[in-house]
Amino acid sequence: MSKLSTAEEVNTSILHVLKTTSPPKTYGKEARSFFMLDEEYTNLNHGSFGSVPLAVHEAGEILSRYIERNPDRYIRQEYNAQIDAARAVVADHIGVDRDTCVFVPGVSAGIATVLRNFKWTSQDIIVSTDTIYDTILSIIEEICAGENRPQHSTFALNLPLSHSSILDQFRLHLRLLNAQVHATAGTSAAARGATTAPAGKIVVVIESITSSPGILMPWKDMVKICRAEEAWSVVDAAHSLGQELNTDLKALDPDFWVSNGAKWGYAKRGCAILYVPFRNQDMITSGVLPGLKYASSGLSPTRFVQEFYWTGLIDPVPPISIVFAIKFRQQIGGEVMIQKYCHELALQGGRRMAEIMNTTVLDCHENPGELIANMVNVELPLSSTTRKSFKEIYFLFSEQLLETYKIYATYFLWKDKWWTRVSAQIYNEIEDFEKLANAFLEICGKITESD
Amino acid sequence: MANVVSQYESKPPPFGHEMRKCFSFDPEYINMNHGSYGSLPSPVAEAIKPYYALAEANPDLFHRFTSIDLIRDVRKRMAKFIGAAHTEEVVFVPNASHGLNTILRSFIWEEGDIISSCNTTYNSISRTAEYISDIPPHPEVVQFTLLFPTSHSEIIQNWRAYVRSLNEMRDQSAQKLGRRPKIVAIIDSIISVPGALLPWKEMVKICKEEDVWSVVDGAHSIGQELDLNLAEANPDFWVTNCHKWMYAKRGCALLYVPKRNQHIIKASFPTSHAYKKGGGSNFVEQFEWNGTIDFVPYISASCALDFRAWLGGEHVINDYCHRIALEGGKRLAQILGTEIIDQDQDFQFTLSMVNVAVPFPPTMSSAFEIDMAFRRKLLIKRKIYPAFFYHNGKWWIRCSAQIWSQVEDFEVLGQAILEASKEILEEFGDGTEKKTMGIEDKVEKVN
Repeated sequence: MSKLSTAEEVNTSILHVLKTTSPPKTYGKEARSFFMLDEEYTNLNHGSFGSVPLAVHEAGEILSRYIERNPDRYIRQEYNAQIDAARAVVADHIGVDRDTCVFVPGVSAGIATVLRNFKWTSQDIIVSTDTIYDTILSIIEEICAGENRPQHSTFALNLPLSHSSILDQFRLHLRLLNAQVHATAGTSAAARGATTAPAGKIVVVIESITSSPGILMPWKDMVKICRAEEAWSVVDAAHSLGQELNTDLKALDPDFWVSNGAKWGYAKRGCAILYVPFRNQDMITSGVLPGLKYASSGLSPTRFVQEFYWTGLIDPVPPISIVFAIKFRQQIGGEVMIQKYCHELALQGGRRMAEIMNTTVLDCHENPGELIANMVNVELPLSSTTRKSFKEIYFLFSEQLLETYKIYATYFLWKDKWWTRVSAQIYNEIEDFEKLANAFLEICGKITESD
Repeated sequence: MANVVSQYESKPPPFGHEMRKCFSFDPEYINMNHGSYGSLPSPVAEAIKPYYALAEANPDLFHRFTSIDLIRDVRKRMAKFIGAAHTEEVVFVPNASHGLNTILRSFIWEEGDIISSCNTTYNSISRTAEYISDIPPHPEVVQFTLLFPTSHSEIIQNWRAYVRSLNEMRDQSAQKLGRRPKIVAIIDSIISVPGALLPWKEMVKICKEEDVWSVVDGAHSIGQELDLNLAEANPDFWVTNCHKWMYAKRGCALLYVPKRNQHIIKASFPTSHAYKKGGGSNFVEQFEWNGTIDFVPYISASCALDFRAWLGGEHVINDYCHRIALEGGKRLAQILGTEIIDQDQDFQFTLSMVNVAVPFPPTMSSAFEIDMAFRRKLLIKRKIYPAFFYHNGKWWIRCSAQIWSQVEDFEVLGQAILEASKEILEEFGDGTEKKTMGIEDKVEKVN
């Protein structure tokens, strides 16, 4: 192998690694060889931590070795251009302009940064659903704590609901909040003897695909409703990249959108993308860590892009790995083929599991499948009369699944029942779902027996 | 699991150029700037591969269980290494900037509060202070001036007078406000540029005497400063980068917060799911998970310590680096016909970084373009590179001495700088004609 001493040699070597002999005819067991998963382990939880394809990992290693040859040269001379190129690839992939996309260390960091850049008053309201990811909830709570801070309004979703029902309720919720902020403004205007006063702003954190349960939301229409109701839309799209086709961001034009490259996108962990349309970039005065200037030379980017170049010294490889991941996915069949397989397997697998466990799939009756992307939620056959505590059950499941059955999907307590959220990936087949269902049957049986 | 013993069964290569075998450098490149971005030794890169394999073999098992336990053990080892009284006082953060940001943004700032920085504070940290000052209630940023050449005793004297003057400012505000504002001082243990060890422990003591919070930026300390004993030094907050002088993988730093101060840090960044509305005593828990990242750099800190132990330990490593810094620095100053920044103070500021003046006339411009020019001519063209900076009317070179360095490297550097500075003088002039504008906006931080 050549010593890979120049950027050109590195690029050639990386391209070589990313090329496969030919894309597989179909996915499933054959596709396992693309990944680094333990042969004896059945991974049905791609949605939590992702899984890095071996080729992407190796491309990352090649880049890593190259960086170590001369860290100063790489970071000071080449890193900027590489990040710009990576941003261009991602932006092209999601259909937006390069300089509306920046890398952030993770989705939480991206959402926290956006929310921190708002100038909050006590008239403002932050809205989130009751299915919001707990870290994002903590971020919102932290922002709402203290004087002169916004209020927090929870939009309760009585899932399962059809998309149109969700939208109707969401529209209503926003209208009520709008009336509230205008009423408050009116009151304070009157108190001051003025005719008008500025109304508080409404900022809505919308998930594209929720976590627990893993539900595909009608987020694009929710963004449109936000626009109609003059509310800000901050989209937590952590699960979208690589799981949703045609995000169509440019036309949709949300106010902010953040996604994780390392979940469904096959990038290395530590790669997330923050999208901010040009019209909102002026209000983002502070990046993830405010005030750090870019470390690397190159053409001056916009002020907004510059704000996000440098979050202190980190491993440069994860953000750039999204380029390798996108290329790899093209090589093995492309987005449509990958996502079609995963989606159909999720639907089929969920049905099969419900059959085996004699339970139900979380779905809406009016439009079956509408709430399901590539993750499916299936009720577990655990009697509600079990005497075990939440904590006991929680650890029993993980211990049994990981140690005894060597299989895993997440599980959660929701509406007084236990559910599992199962992720379908190209390395999965229907047998994996069957294996999981049987494992849960046995484990739940043991739990009830030992009560 | 990595078999640490087998990797380190044979004897290590001797320090000097032979030690390059343990690193992945381009054979044509002479790295004299370890202080900026660190370097990952190949044995450490090898030692962490099993952890990557584990992470990918079963991401859930790794992220939910294995890594949590592993990192707890590494924290224990690191806490001992820095002399913290309790493991619970030490958490990992991705880098020092992140840690310092977390601290500074955690304080509940009030009118009349004072943030003290220094003209030598790392560029991004002073901007963080400015940023905080820019938002209501606008705490005031006051700057301590530190100009080389100076001495430790002079700095201590000036610092005491300065902190007392801050207290006078505070007393005046207190009268108007009816309450006593706080003063938060950012102190470097080792300044970036110049690369200089400060009498930070004495400065911390003075802060205590004057009722001032001490936030220590120890980015360069771990692995370069020997015998750290934080329980004894007792700063209020302390941050260091393991991926600089300690050989960990990039993305690994420590945030130290003694128990008495943990209530100040209400939340990590980004906020953790463990955040409790209204506060709670779960400092460590809040830093255990801040989103899915690559956790292996944190684990690499332990692998780095194994590597350093194999080489003979902290004293052996640093005695070599220190000796080379001094000998090399002297040789460089000789070749350039200039001086080492603390040669009249018995090199009391020099650990493994040595600062030597560039042979420019005193009228030379301070323009940023000159730094860029050195970069082109040295890093790119001549494949040798230290850091450059402008301080108190002069251009300086900051050389990092490492276990792969030899005095000969400083000689090669000397010749390269002689040539390059001649070229730069020709290109830019000596500053006596029209002055090239130094463009503040593009002033780039040197790590």
